[in-house]
Amino acid sequence: MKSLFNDPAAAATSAKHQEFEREAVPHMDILYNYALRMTADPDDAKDLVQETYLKAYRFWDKYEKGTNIRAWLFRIMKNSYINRYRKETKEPETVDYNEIQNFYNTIRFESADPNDLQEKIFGGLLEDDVARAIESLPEDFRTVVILCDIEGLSYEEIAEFVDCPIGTVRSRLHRGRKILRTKLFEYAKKRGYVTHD
Amino acid sequence: MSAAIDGELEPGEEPQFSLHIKECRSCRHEYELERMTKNLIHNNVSRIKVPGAVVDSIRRQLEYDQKAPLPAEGFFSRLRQHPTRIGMLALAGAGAALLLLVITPSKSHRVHTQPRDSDIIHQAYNNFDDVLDGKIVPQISTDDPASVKAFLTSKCGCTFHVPQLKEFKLVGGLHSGREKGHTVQLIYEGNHDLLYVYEAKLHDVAKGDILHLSPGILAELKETGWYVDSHDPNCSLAIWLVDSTICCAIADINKEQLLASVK
Repeated sequence: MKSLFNDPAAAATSAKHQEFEREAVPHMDILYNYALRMTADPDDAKDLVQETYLKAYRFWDKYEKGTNIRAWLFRIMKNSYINRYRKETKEPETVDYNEIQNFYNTIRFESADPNDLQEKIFGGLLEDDVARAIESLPEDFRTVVILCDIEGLSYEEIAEFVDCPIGTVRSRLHRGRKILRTKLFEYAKKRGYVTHD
Repeated sequence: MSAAIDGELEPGEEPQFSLHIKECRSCRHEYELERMTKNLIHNNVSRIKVPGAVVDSIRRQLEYDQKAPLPAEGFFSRLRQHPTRIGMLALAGAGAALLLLVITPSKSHRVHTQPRDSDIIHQAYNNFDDVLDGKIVPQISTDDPASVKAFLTSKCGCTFHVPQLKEFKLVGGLHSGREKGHTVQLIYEGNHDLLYVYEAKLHDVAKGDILHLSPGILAELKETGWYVDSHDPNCSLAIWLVDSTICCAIADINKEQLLASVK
């Protein structure tokens, strides 16, 4: 049986190392950022990225050259994440989607300027609030929102990352953002930024 | 809806969508709300760069791996020779690259069916089984005790003992725990066997927060510094104290051999 841990000649090892350094290492930012948003803990994020790169290095010969390296690294990380941190799959809490909708309807006619509207609904929310709302999203939704809205990846690449059809990416994004905006509206209300009635 | 916001509609879908959005008020509102949400996330959540220290530490790990792939090789091939109940070991899921190693039993290791409780001895036997099954793998793989110690210290914020053993070479180590106290696990390999060391701090164990040790054993430890348990003639456990650290070693060897290695 073929061992993955054969000790190749030193020259080959060094070539592998250089190739890995060139191909894989530049993508550490996107992986770290994702890990941080998923675990909400810098230490855990570091461990996760470290584990991912060690595995990737050991399995480097399994990477098909020319395919999407980021997606490959991401899938290794997703696996490690699931092995380490996955608790019960969290179902989205029942959220009242209507409240924000109603509020929106009442203020929609007061102003035609979208910036002003956004300010009225989510005004004054801090980065922390937004980050916390993202953390509260169920995993599948959180993943696509991070990849699309923070990282700015295309649907095609996201689909490759999460190994799903593009249609699934679309619907998860829509649903994820819908849960998010309800959450954010709640925070804004609690903080007293939203003042109506 | 999301596709329209992200500019990801298929060319054919676009005219249809804009027509609909003009006519349907509720979809128009939905569209505007979703767009606001996206903007809010996009403008408020910054991409965080991976800290330089993390990159350095990963580079160092890769260096170890490159310079010393042998410990890993030794470790995994030892597992393969090692007797276990499971025929296959799924090496912690590397996605499509999931590797299955076939483990062919060579001699019989009796699986320790110890209660899954917080007794440090039970826990150590159970962990040892998991090590042999490949369920517990090192977070750091190197035969250099100083590197393992540095890694564990950075994880725990306190020092643990990384003993140098006779006849056994260090393979790697891992750490677990956080709020209530830390534990450390070390894996060594000899010519034919793996040796496993489990460590916890005496004060954590005394408080009973993470693990516990029966009062009799604790007394014996404090008096003589040692406690030895021979589970069966071919598997032994030894506990000893180094400063405030309880070290607990297990291997599939007899009592005398084990003591000769750790003392």
